[in-house]
Amino acid sequence: MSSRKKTLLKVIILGDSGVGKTSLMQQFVNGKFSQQYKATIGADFLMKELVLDDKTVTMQLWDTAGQERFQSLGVAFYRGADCCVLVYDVTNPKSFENVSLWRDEFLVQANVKNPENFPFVVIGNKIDVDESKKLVSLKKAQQFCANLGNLPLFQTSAKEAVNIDQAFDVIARNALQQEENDEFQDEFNDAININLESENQGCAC
Amino acid sequence: MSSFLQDAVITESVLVGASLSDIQRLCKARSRLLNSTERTVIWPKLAGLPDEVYGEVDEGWRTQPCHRDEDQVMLDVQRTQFLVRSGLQTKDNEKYREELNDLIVRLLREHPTLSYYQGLHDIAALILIVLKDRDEPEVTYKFFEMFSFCHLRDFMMPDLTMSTQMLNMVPECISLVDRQLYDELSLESMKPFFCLSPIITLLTHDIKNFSSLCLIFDQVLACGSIGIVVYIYVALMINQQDKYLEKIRLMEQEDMFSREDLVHNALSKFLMDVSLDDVELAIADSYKILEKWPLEKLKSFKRLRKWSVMKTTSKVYVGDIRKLVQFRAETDFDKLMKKQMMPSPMIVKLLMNEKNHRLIKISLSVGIISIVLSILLNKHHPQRYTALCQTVSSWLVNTNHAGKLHSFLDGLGLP
Repeated sequence: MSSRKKTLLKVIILGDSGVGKTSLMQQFVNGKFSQQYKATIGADFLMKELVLDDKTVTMQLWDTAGQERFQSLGVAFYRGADCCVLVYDVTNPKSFENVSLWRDEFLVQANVKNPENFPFVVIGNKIDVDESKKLVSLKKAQQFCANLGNLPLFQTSAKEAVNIDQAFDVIARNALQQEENDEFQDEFNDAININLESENQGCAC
Repeated sequence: MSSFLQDAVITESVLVGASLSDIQRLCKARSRLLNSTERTVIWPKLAGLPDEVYGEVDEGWRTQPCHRDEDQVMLDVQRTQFLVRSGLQTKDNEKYREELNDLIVRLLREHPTLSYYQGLHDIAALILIVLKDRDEPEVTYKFFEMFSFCHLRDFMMPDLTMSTQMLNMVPECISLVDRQLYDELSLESMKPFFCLSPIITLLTHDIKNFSSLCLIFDQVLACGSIGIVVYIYVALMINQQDKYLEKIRLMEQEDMFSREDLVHNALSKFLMDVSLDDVELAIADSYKILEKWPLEKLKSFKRLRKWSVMKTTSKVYVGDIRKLVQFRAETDFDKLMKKQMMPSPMIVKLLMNEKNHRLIKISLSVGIISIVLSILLNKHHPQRYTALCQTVSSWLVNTNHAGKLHSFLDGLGLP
């Protein structure tokens, strides 16, 4: 059934202000980079069609505001997400520390059915800078992702288009997996409901 | 109209001597003819700054403790795109960034109860660029300070509650002015977050044309209220509908996204390419809408907290603007902000939350019905009433509910 229907994958991109959420999305969707994307206020989405193996999917990528005060809007935007991308800036240790806070906040607000299995992907952006400016080591990030249940980790540069397609390919595949699980779950629930109804009828007789 | 309002060229000396109400009328009627030099005189006057010599910049703030939001300010200032204005060189951008950072950080350090929000930097950048010609940085600061306190306080609270309450005025206005559009966009069933950025930044984040923004700020200052921005935005939404509705319909055919998402997406972007003519037309329309449906008549206005700028220092002003200036000069804004920050009493919070409305109604109804029933029963069938009371009390005793009630009351220290 799912192969005939058009598949929409909803992806939410979160992370501290200035880590490069808008840049990552622009690089992936439009293949361009600007030194100065304006701050994102509220949230909005871009879309991109992808072919995964032989299946065409449309990704709906939600870009969000990084300032903490806008987090309360999450409830309105996170619902129905299939994957959540957590972005930090390799030159900014605070943004890395906040990754787990963003993850917790997402789980609270998105109201996902299965928090343990919900797909997250972690991205450390701005790896184009000098080695001396990199303050979050790859090892530390790998350790962190392992502790959170082996979350996929990518080191990217939105500026120089490094690792962008690879990261979004994994994001899309995980989102698709999640979407299919949800669909399966829904069908499974429907099946149970039907059974219950027929059981009830049986009791009534 | 006096000849001053009809002169093609308004000299600075004329403006200095002009009455405030003339200037107010000038901004509303002939805003497009003003240039930046004239605005440097008009804006501070209309904002309510006393006519005095401001002199050197007060640098005292530099030694005051840092504000919690300074990192965020720096991030946003670094990526501010200064609006293109004739006579200003983009090579000076670094210098402007420094001045912009100082302007915002000084406000925060001098008034630490205010919080910075993303978007304030766009408003500050416009003010900085316009008042540049006056070459009196202290006036720029005093103007920005007065403007923030009178008009932006609600957005500078620690959380978004007061900001989002204000957004509800947009769909309500649309429903009054263009019901068909309201229905077409299904605004009833969605949160109005599409207008968050236009409203809290007074359109400075979304419209990228310097002259358009100057016209809009002329109106804010002439009306003494950011309420006019709500109406300008509503007028733009109505006038530009053909452009974005077409886009929504096309996307809808693909049967991919929810209607709510499509509407949000289209409305978040339509302001990017509105022209100066579009803005001028919207301003003219906004006054017509304002006249027919003034702010005070909107339900969403009534639901705003009593300290909201819309109900206090940013009311739409009709009449002698000198009184407004006087009022602002006498207001202790720091005190006002502290009052505004005080949490509402529990009962107000309960009532404000729409989810609780039904619960409160049900509880009240059940309470009133049981009182009425017991009175009626006692009056007409006193024996049955006594029997019923006995049944209830024995049920309580048997199931030990009474015991639980007693221990609960003991816990509270009640008899």
